[in-house]
Amino acid sequence: MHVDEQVINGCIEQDRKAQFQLYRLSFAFMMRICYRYVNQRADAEPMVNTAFCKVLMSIEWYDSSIPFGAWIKRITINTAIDEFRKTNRRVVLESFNSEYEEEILMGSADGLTEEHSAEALMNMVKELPDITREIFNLAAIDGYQHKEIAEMLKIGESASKWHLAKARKLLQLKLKASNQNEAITRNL
Amino acid sequence: MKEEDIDKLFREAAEKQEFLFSTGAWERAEAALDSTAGIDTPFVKASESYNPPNPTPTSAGFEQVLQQQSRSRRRVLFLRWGSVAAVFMALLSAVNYLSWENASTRGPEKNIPQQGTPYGTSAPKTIHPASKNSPELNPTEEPAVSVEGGLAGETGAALPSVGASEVGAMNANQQTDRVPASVLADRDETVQEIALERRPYAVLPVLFADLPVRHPTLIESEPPGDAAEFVSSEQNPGPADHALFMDLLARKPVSNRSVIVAGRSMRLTDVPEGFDISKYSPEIGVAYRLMDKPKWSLNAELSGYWVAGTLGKVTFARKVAGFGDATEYRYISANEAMQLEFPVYFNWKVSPRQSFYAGVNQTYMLPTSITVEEETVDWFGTVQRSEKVQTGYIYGLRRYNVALSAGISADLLPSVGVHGGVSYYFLDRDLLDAEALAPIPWQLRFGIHYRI
Repeated sequence: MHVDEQVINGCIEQDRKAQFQLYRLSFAFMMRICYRYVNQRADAEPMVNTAFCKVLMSIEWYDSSIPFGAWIKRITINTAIDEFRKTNRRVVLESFNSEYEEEILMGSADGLTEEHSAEALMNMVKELPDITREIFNLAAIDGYQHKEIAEMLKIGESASKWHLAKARKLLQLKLKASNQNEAITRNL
Repeated sequence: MKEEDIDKLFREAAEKQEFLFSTGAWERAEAALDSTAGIDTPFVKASESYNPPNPTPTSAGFEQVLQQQSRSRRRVLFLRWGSVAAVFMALLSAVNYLSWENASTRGPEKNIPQQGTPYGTSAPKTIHPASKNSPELNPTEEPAVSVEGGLAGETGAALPSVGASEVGAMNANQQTDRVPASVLADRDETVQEIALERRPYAVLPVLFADLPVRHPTLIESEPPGDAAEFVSSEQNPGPADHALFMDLLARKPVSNRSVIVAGRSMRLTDVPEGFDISKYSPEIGVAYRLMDKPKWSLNAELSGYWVAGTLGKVTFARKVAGFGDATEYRYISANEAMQLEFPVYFNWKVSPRQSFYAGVNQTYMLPTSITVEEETVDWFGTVQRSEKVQTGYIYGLRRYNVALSAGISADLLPSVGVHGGVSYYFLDRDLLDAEALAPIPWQLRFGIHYRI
């Protein structure tokens, strides 16, 4: 994501037009991040707006030596984590019960192709338990270390590792189930 | 499918997602912007310390730095004070060894202890002071300082006068060569007796060389004249407190059981520079010898140790729940706190003047006034401060603790001795919620003791 320096300067001067331009440029980028951390699209947009407010209010201290996209990404992820913590006060180890795993193994024959569309894959992620989804997003997609995740979510590193491993396992099972369903559909 | 493949698959899927911009979204964002305009929210006024390149708040890396510094400082401190303790012990041993050697090898030179003076118990002797022809003024001439009658006061047998310069140049054997054979046996015996009697004071020339140790005798026996003036100018008795000081040093203890202890102590910590609570602090107390046997004794002590380093600050960082990545720092500082100590030591006497001690030391910290400053640093580096004064204890140290102590003690004078040792505390760290700030459970202690 490239943002013109003029736009950044305009935002620093609180020029509404520049703010609009920045919002338009970064909307999809920020939505992509926020949508991964919430279940509904409707929840993602307010999160984007909150993050955007933070971006504008701190843009004066933006260091131009850092890619603007990375800076915005960090603010957006922090906002997402804040929101997650507000709505999930009890961030504790959650254990998966066997029923849940069976449900995953059975899968839902929703017509996924072997290629799996991006939306279908992200839906698989959304089906994960909240804390597991957050950790998978942070670790596997956003590239955070377990130590950082543990600090963010106020959990232990081992818990973070456990959730990530569980997320991978569950996603793998879902992919497998999806492929099986696809094959059955073809045979029919 | 490998873990990396799963991650890559979903990462690419996340990047492929498309979201179309809508003006409705911007209108809602604009409304949010308008609602926050003019509000002094924590993130509106970002502090200068805010550092965007670091995704975590400015303070987030502090803990890591703190831990790294602490680990290295732990080692440095331990080595530093360990070496100080080792040097101190070595010096102590050297001083005592030298003093013992001095006492054993010195012959009947001019500063023979005099009975009735604060510095000796032997019989009084008449000592002629140095004249202008003394070795100090004219080394080539015969020395004028002599012991009249030799050691008659000690044994009844007179020894020939021995010049001071010769005494200084000769060792005991050489002196013996100049002594008539008839008195050699008596003299050898006498020298040994004198050496034994002088042992408690032998260290005086080493530690208190600038003090007028011999002066009272010289003044009393000196006939008026130039020589007397010379001696007086060289060995001015000084103010009366010097004499009082020497009296106190040389006096014999009355009971040999009660001891005043004074010294310096310090706790070792691994707190980084600037927050250091390990500083030397004064310590004073009284000890009582519960049991006194020829080879060992049992001492109980009550002392107060002013725990210093409270002048510095102790801090820790923690995340504030529900406030994003905000970090809270808490600085707890106290001007001073006293730690009462109740050690019980077993003393093993390795020589008449040296002993090793070991025992259990119980400590109790008295409450003191502490200042608690709290800083909350939010995601944008904005700092909010609060301060309050309350009664508390030095952060990081337990109120009650138990330590194993060991050290060495040496008597320099009948009433005065020195000691040094270390204590290892068992109960620590329980007051800390930041591992990096845990103090090292060692305490160094050294000082002097005075037998009442």
